[in-house]
Amino acid sequence: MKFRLFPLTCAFSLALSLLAADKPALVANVKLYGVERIPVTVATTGTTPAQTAFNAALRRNLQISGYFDVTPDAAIRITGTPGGTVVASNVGKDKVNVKISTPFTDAKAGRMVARELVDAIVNVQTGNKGFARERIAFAQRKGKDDGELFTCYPDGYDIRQLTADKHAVVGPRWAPNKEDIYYTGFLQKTPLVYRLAASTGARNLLAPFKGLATGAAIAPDGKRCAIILSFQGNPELYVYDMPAKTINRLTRTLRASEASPCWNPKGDKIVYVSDETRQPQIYLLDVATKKSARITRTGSQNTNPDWGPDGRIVYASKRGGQNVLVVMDPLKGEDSACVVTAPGGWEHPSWAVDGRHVVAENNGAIYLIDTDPQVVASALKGCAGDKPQLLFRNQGHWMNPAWCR
Amino acid sequence: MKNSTVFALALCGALAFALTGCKYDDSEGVGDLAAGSELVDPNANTAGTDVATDTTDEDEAARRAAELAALNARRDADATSLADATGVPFDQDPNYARCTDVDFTPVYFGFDADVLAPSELAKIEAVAQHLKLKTDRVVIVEGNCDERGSNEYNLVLGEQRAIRIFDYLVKQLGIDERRVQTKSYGEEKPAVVGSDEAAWSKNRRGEFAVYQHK
Repeated sequence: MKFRLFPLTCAFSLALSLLAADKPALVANVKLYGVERIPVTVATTGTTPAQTAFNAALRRNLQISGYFDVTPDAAIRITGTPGGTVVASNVGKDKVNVKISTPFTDAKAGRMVARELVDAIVNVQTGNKGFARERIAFAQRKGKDDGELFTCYPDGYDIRQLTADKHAVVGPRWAPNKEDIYYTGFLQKTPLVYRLAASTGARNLLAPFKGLATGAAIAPDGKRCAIILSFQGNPELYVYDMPAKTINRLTRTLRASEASPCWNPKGDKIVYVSDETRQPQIYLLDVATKKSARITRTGSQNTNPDWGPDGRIVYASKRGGQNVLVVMDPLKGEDSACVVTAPGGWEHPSWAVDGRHVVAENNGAIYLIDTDPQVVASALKGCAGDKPQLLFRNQGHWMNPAWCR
Repeated sequence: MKNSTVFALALCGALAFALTGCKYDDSEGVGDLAAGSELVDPNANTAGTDVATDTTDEDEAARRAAELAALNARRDADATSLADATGVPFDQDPNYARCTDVDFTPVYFGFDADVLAPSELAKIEAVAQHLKLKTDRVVIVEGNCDERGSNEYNLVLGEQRAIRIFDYLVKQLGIDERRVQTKSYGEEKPAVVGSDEAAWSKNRRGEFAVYQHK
């Protein structure tokens, strides 16, 4: 699906908002998009709390998908009774119906059905995967070595606290099984990697490594774990074969440290951070040959690389004293790099399953960012509807988001 | 510990490091041997000191050298078993208890740096002196960072700071490396809460947690 830039929308919307300045309720409905979206009308019925939750989640997930705008009288029309049958008509180039008939009785289940419907509509309309049902793990920092691990859905609802340890949580990442979260915790006073089952809360220590253990990233095969360890002295990048219980060193940087490894979708390469040049930069390593090469040079600090499903990485880059997020093809290098946010405090980006959206933290809050080039251009020009969307408004210092995919 | 034993252990240790490729590179950072070290001068006059029998010293030195060689071989290995990578830190070991009668001054670092400033070396030497006097004590060096930058990167930077202090204690000041462990809190345990240089400079630090064998 290609989107056309619609440059007048911003100015038109701004005029609307000025005209409606004495009617704030109307201002809230003005859509400040610089990129045209597909109109969808939500005309579902129902007044129970569960149905209301379904309807709200349906609207919210359609909006944040990046493809749709919920408006009256659109060609795509969603009708029916939530909890009974709901149908989205005229979807895709073949104008098909997308139907869901899953019964539910509570709000949480209603939201889950709405997410399932939105993912189906996105898939039929665009051919791409929707991310509505893919959870985001993140950490809360409450004080000195005091924090917890949480998950929620991309619509910001159904926030679930997974730990109650009052210890710092660093760098959660999902395993490919979409169930286990690996993170660095201080439960035993020293930083060690824990595996936590998101659905049950069951947790176990990956291994009682000597020294530092952090940055665990599970390979697509689910068996190998890229991890930063210091049991041999300096912190280095290793691959821990979990079934065989063997550890293979990949780097040997006597005066540098490595951090934040991330596998490519094929599982034969790793991007990671190293401060070999005294400032953290991103390196690309071939696992079989252990050969690595620096791939970032712009920016005084480049950190937190995440390798997305379409082969591009997203990372945080410090430029002019502030952080931006950058998307780049690591095999092509910085010639392919694009800045996707305005300067701020951006850190810890993580790709969605669609390879287009990213979740990241910015000064203690978590945002969804649409990295589509036209959306980015529109957002950087000031069109509010295309700017990063706050994941939720709960008070607190929220950080280290990781999107399940 | 007797002077002759100290010298023998140090010599064997240095030899073992040299033979195994010397994992640690001190080309920058800590500089020359600090004053007060007991490791130098093989011609030092040991008359009047309490010297153990030569045979015992040699046996101990050989055993220690073999241990160090094996340790360094494991350190240099590319492939390792999980057993070699795991262990129990002093603060989780029921055989050790935290000492509350000592409180050492933190060692401070520059921004995004793990280099030991000359002004900080005396603080580490004070810890070494204590460990030499109290031979049943051990220490965990805790590395910390300020809040700036990625917290994942800061976790490894904190470990690197702790390792620089470890290196100075072990390789320059002669403390048995089995008595020193490292730990990083990254940016998670600031000494001072704040977002200015006054706070940041107090948070870029290495601290010492001393434990005693029960």
